[in-house]
This record gives sequence, C-alpha cells and structure tokens, in this order.
Amino acid sequence: MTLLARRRLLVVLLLATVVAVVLDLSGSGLPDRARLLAAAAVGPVQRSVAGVDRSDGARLEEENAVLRARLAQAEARLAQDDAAGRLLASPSAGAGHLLPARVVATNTTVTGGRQVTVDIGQRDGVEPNLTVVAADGLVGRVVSVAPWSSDIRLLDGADAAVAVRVGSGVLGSVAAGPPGDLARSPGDLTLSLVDRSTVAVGDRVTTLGSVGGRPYVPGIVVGTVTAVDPPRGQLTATAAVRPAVDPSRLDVVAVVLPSAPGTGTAAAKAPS
Amino acid sequence: MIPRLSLLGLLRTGAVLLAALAVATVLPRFGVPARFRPDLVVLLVAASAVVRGPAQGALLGLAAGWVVDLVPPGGSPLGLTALLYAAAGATAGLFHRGAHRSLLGALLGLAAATVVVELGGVCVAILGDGTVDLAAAATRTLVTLAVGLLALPALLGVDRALTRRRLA
Repeated sequence: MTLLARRRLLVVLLLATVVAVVLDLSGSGLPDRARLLAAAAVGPVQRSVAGVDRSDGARLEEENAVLRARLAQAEARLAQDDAAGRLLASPSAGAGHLLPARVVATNTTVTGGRQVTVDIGQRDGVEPNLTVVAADGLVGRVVSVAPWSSDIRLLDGADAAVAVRVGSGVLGSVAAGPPGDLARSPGDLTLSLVDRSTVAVGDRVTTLGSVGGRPYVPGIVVGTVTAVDPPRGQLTATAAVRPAVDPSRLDVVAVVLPSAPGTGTAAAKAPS
Repeated sequence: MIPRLSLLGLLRTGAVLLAALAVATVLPRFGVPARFRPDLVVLLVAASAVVRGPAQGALLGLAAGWVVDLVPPGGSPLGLTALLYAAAGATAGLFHRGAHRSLLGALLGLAAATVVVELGGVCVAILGDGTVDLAAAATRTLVTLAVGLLALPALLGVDRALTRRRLA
C-alpha cells in the first residue's frame, strides 16, 4: 500500500472511531448493538478459554457457593425482627431462584468501568437489571445481556448507588468514590446517611431492596462499616464501608432471578 | 483504497485477538492481580510499529484497540481504547529508525507506547471516576516492559523472518 493511501485510510478510520466515541457518549444505541454482536461472537470462545469446567467437581463447587449465599440471606432475615421482616417482605424478595455462574473475563482496558463478564446469558434466562450475589454478599447488577454471556457492573463503579439498611434499621445509600478530600482505603465504599449518631463501626450494611426487586433484592449483605467520617459541615453524614465481596477474587457468582409475582416469600406465607 | 490483506496482516490480527482474550480471561484465572497483568496488546502493537513506522503503527493500534473494546466486558465509551492504542502505535513508530540499529531502540519504543496508554488511562480515570491509582499504573508499565524485554526480540525476529519470505 502506498504511503498516501495508508495515510488516507488512517484518517478515515480515526474519524470513524471518534464518531463511535461521540455516539457512545451521547447514549445512542448503535455502540451497544456492536457490543452485543461482539459478545455473541466472542462469548463461547471466552468460555472455553476460561476453562469453565462442567465436570462434577465444578458443579458441586457452584452448588456450594449458591447454598452459602442462600444461607447468608436466610440468616440475615432471621436476625431482623420477625414482624418487621414480614412487613418488609415483598413478592420479589429473596425467594427468587439463584442461577450460578462463573466469571470468565474481568475488565482490563484502561478506559473501562468496573465490569466483569460471566458465562450465562440470555439463553439461560438472564435479563438486564438483576441482582448478582456471591457467597459473601452483593456483587453488583447485570447491565447488559448477550446470548452466551452477560456483563455485570460491580459496586465500585462510579455510577452505582445502592439503597441500604444499616445495623439497627437506619436507611442510607452506598456508592463508590471518596467524598471531597477524604482518603479511603482502596476498595472501600462510602455510605451516606442523614443522622450520623445512629451508625457505629462494625454495623452490617444490607440492601434495602428496590421496587419489584430490580435492580436489588432486599436483605443482601453489602459490607461492614469500618469508620465513621468526622463532621465537616455537610448535610449528610458519611462512613466508610468495607465491601463483603472482594471484587478482585470473584469466581463463582449467582444471578437472582425474579420469582413469579404473587407467590410471596416463605416468611409471608408462614403460618403464625 | 481497500487494503490487500496479507498473511502477515491476518496473523497480526489473530495475535492481537488472542492477546486481548489472554489478558481479559486467562491471566485473571491464574489469580494474577490487576496491577501485575502485563499489557500484551500494546506489546504486539509496539513490536510491529517499531519495524514499520508511525503510520502503520497507528493503523495497527487502532485495530487492536477496537478488538480490546469489543471483547467483553470491553471499554467505555466504545472506541476510546482504540484512539489510545493508535496514539501508542504512532509513538512507538517514531522510534523505528532507532530500532533498526539496536534492540534498545525497540525497547524505548515499547516504553513510550506503554507510557502513552497508561497516561491515557489515568486521564480517563480522572475525568470519569475522579480516582487515580498511579502506583498500579506504574507497576503495570514496569511489568509490561519486563515481559517486553523477554518477548520483543522473539517478536521482532518472527516479523523479520516473515518479511524476508515476502509474506508481508
């Protein structure tokens, strides 16, 4: 190829890339469709490269992780006051079916947000905006679904905010990122509350739950409060939360599928 | 103006795809923490750019960046990694006169390309999250350079052998 032709090709491709970046930033659907096509094409390859083991040993490992996650959820609900628990139980809470999955790819691009890819997709019943949990607690939510894989946005992404309940029942919201000039240990999340005095170090933070259970079902452990920030004249009090799940060590996770509407939870149906 | 797709071009694209899959899927599987994962894609881009010059380097960097953006989970916004790697390829290509003389020139080209990619990542992180992890970026640069020290002579040798057989 002549030098001039090569230069022209370079300029054309650079312009096309800039157009793609602008389209994605402006929220157009075309880049998402391109990502979906690429995920559909690369998904099976990633699964085989990741060496996802479909043998008995691996299946037992997955079942084990799912059972531990269920046990943690059940224990959290038992720890609440029974009446309050029944009051807060909604048809989509907690009793949903857990679908195990393995992480096949983690985000490595310098420009990427905090996302991981798992090896179940549309064909396994995954839909966007479902909760993803691990044995220890909340991992994140499903953001995009391809036929063979799905992308999960982790809790420490910049745009993730989870409504939570702290310890004795105080409401707040957890998000990533340090407030102002306060330093956080890497990986810690920030809890925002209205009343500082109701939070103590060591309180457990669990999800409050969203309408219809999307994107978050209630009662999942998010983390533990490690430090309460001193007052700096701001309206909301903040605290540091150490997440229960280490995002750099994710392997087996489970997607919470919504239960059918009207079935209710075991707590709501239990005879008094 | 459609470029003739040579065997070497196909090999390079295949190698970039494998490198992108390896960094996203295989290395995390072995439990390598994020700051110690070398950037194999910039290694491949720089290896070709120091042989062929800035324009070819930028083209390969653009293609490699697109592959990295599309392999799930990919980057956001779509295409920004492509621009970064195109800049890295052009930077590495600037060293192609030095690379013909000695291996040190090629290593300097790889170092410049890696620094461009990591600095770009830091700038995007500042504009997006507001968080900056300079220690991780520096560690990743050093690990990529260390892997490049071992792999670059082999990659350059393969490139020259294939060119000599007129496959380029």
